[in-house]
Amino acid sequence: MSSRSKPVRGAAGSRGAQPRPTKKKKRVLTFWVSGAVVALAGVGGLLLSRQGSPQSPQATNGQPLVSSRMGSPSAAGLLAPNGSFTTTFGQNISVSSLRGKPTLIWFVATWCTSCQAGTQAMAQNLPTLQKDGVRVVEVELYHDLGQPGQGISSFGRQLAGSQYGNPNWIFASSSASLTQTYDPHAYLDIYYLLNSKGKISYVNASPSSTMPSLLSKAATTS
Amino acid sequence: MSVRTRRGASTSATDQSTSAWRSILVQLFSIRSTRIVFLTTAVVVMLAYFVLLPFDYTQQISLGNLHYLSVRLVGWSLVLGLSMALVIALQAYSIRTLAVAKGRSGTVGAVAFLASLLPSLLCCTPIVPTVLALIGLSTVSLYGATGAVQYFMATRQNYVLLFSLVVMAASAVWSLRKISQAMCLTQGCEVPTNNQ
Repeated sequence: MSSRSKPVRGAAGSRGAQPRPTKKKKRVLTFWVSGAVVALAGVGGLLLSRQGSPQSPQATNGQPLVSSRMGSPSAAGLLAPNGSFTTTFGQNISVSSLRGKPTLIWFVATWCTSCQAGTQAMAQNLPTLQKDGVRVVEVELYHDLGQPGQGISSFGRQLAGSQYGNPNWIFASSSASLTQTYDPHAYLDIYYLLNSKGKISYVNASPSSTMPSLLSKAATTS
Repeated sequence: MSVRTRRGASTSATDQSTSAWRSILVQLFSIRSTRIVFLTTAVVVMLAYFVLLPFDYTQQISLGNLHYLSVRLVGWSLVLGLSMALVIALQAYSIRTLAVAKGRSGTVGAVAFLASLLPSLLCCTPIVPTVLALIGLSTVSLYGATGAVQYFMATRQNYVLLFSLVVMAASAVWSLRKISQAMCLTQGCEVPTNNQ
């Protein structure tokens, strides 16, 4: 180390000999102290969050609206909670009214890259889902999670191509309560496959990469 | 500031640094082992970027990501891969010829590499909401915060990649400066003086 710094000082001829190591030591100390503070804050936050009450969505009457399993694969087997969304044609539809036909309900943000890629993948695979009797409802998360994205209508037109307008592919905007119910952890690109009785049969995310498993589940869902 | 050379001629410090750095780069690429380090690193890092930069399209690391490579992502992969290779080659050169490197520029290069992957790794994945939930944000704040962070990562990827490139370039310049200063010892150098 000294063999490295001495000639430099000699060449420059303008730097003192003693202050550099002291400054360096201070910088190293500051780095490690800052790191320790950040790590402690993280551990503290983790402990506090575990001590707090679970953040399950609550109904207006104070009763738990849905299981805390929503938003994770363990939601499979639950009866799909009710909620409403508005289609690009202005129809207000409830989830319970979707019973009678297997339905994929898929939550996206229009600015989300994987949601855009997933929509293109869905356009290619819609005929297969349609053959299995599955309808797709692609729902924009409530107000695009507060960010300025394009509308779900232009999003669909742009990415679904010729499949836009197919009656088996509905584009819609979520109500606040539907977003909170189906996406309690604020994940992007999450989807639920519901059977014709309105039960959740499969939960996953990112159809752009999980399309093969989605298609195989859809083939066995009735 | 100007410098007086041993011959007594006076040139600007910038010109002198540039020529010194150029000669270091020429010397670096004339050595077979550092050429191999440069080329190997460039290929490995570029291939890594080819798979990792489109991660936000698929949320998984697989060769399937290559399907989502665009001209923009290929360009960034090439530029960042070459920059990273230069940083590592300089590190190898200084260790091999002068034994002056302590790994700092390599560490900075690694940090820049990780920073360049943040938009791909953080957009649209459960990582951001999970971390924010662990911090203890309420449900309402969670939607706003996760939306803001992921929206930034989804729409400002070029700025983050540019930042990484600047950090890598700065790291390479820092290495060049250190090497040229160390060469003063072994091969002699031009001594800076103040203008009077």
